[in-house]
Amino acid sequence: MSRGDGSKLRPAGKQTRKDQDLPLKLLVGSALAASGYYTRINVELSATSARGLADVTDVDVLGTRYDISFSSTTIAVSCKSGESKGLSPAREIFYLRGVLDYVGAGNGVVAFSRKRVPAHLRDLGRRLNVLVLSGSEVEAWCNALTNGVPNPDYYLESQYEEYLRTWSPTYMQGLAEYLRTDYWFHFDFRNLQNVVGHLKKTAPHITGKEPWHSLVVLDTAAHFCLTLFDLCRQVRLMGLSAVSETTAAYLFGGAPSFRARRDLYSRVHQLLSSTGVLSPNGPTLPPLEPSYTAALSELVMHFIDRPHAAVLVLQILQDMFWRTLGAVGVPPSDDKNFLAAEKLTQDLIDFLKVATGASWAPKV
Amino acid sequence: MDDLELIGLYEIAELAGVSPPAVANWRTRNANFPKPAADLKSGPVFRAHEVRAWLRRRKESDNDMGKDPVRVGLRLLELECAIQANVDDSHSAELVDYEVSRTAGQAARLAMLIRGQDVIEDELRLKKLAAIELGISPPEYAAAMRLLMEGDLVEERTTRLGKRVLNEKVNRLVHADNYRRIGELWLNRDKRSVKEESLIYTLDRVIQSPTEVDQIDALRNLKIPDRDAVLELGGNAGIIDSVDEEKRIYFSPLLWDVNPKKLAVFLKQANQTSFSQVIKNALNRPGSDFTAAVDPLLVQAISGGILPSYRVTSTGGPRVYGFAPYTGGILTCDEEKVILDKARALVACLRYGSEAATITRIRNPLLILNAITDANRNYRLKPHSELKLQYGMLIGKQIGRVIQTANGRFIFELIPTEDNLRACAIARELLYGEVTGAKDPGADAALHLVNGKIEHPLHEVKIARKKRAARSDELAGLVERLQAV
Repeated sequence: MSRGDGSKLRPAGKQTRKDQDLPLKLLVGSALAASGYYTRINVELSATSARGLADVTDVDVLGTRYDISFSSTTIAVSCKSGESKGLSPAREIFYLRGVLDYVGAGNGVVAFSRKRVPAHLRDLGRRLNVLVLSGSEVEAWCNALTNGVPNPDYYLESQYEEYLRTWSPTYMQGLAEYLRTDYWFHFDFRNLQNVVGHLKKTAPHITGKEPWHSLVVLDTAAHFCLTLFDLCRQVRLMGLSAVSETTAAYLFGGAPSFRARRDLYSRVHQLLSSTGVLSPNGPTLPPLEPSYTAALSELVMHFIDRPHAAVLVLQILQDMFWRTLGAVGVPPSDDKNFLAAEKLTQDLIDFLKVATGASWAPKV
Repeated sequence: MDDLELIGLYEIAELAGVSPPAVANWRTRNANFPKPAADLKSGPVFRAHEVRAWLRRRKESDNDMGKDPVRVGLRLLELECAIQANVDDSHSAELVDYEVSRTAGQAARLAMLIRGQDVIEDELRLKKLAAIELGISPPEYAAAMRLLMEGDLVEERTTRLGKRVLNEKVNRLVHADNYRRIGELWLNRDKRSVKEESLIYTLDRVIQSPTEVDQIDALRNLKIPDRDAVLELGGNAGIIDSVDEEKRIYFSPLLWDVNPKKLAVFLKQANQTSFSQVIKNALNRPGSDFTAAVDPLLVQAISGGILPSYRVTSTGGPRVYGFAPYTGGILTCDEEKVILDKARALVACLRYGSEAATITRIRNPLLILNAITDANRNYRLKPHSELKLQYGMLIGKQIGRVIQTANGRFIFELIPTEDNLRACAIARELLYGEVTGAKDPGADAALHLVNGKIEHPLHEVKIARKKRAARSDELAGLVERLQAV
């Protein structure tokens, strides 16, 4: 976990210096992903401002999985390979606690691959619900996570570097920057429209002719899926019969905010109509809700109808992603839920294709 | 000067050639109906030029069906359902001319059948189900499935283990989208016969409102034998019928409770007899108890479907609860008839609970409706031993389900779909609100013949299996009786 200001940040896809902790992060990321978590490493919590990235921190490894009520269980891991005196376990534990609260993670782990951790700091970790591991404990914990699970070979260093290179073209920068920073910093309803909006700008370049086109779509789809699960949870709370209303309201941050905007919209419409700017045969005001709102409600309906399958969609996207990069992946299955999950994954990808006007989308 | 001309509802009715209640319905159902220039004590008045423009637009949109794939898709579905349900030999030689439309209609029915499946692992089973449930033979199935794939409603996929499955992509929330896709495919087919095209367009025309045969463009250009064949098939399938003996005006009996031409005569006669009191009572108290009815006229009206009635059986013995015929007003469009049917069933069960139940009687049916529409209570009623029998009809109509508790009692749980919740709201109105439809039971049945927007699917299996409207001879018998009174 590193802290600093925006000036120290490297541009997306370019590493200015070797990340000493990367092997440990990859090991932990691989174990979490294999055990069913949707996992990301080096998740930056920052917002972009006019001058670039504002005040920033990051989470070394973040794993999330969902239960059938679309509630998430999140685990954040801080990976430290060094053993210098400047590396303070106490500071890392307190720091991780704050990050856990911010990202809504229930469990935190600080993993020191070399540095020894005194017993009193392990007690401190327990009091703050942070598991402190050092030395061989890290590997043992990873093994415990994947015990009996076939190794899908995710997060190999060469694959990860290839993934980072995926985002290097200039026209990818907007989407890359958003997914890397603002997405995780806000991590709320805004992501839904923003992910679609950013992908839309990139869509003309995504033709399927390059292998990395799949990676971009799958990675973006996984981000979209996380926010879709949040919407599914909201719809479940409000009742499936209100799926259309809840979906529209969610896009604007909730019913009161949606009503206010709709009210404003109708006033503007009235004003422009009365002044003759708008007319039945002339220019019209663009609709308030995005054009894909109905299709989004439909997608949510399918997900909520099949929660056991829906929660596997993230894993399938993750698996497709790493298999595209050359990983073995999880063994195929013709289990009922798995088949439905594959279909829902395709639905989600197709939705993004239609919503962004893309000409191509990968097939599950 | 034309701008200053004001007209009322009666004048509009005269202009449009319909009854004033029909105009009142247009006002409530069409948001774009001109706003009144003033609301006088005698009623609203409108600017004549605005009304004329609206009527002109409406007429144009009626004639514009050819460009509306949603309406085409719906008509295709209705045609196929009607042929399956009412035509004796659904594979006769005469039907060869309608092959493209029938394939499209079968595709629409298949889409309804697989709706909500997500993945179809065993296509053979689906093929068998299609044959049993929808009467679609295997070769027809193959053609319909090809159409569904072409319309992107079904997608074939091979899993990583090499298994071939079908992904269902039918839209569940916006049904119109499915019909649009089917309609578009039909419209883009080159091999449509003139007869099938005429039948679909004619059906769409007369389903909107009764129309003189000379006014139906789709029929005008047909040769006489072809025109007769189209109308004969429409008649045999029960989707097109003539209002008058001379067969000058045609209508579609698809979307009405009872045959409107007979209902009009019946209500006119009923108004002059003591029978009008029965209808008035049913209007004032929806769900009147007709169990002990001995009047042969009343019995015949119930059995003939003029007075929709619901039989509820439980520990208090069987009871029959009747309703006045639907004359518009409470529903926003014709396709909601299924919802009205559910609402009436709810009312009948609640009436039984409050009047005939032997173990515990409902004190206030409204509380029951509140409970089953309350998400915080999981749409459930408290356990009761009598619920299984008493609410049996509601299970059959997919309004709710009954769950048995450990101590042998039963919990009724509403299935909280949009149509069921709307049915509950209508049931509430029936129990405590205003009477359904026109106050005057003898009002002209033309009120039935108003336009309705048809976007929602009819319950396709229900169309195929729905009870036929009262037969002509039954209704004629009733009218004769009334005339004799």
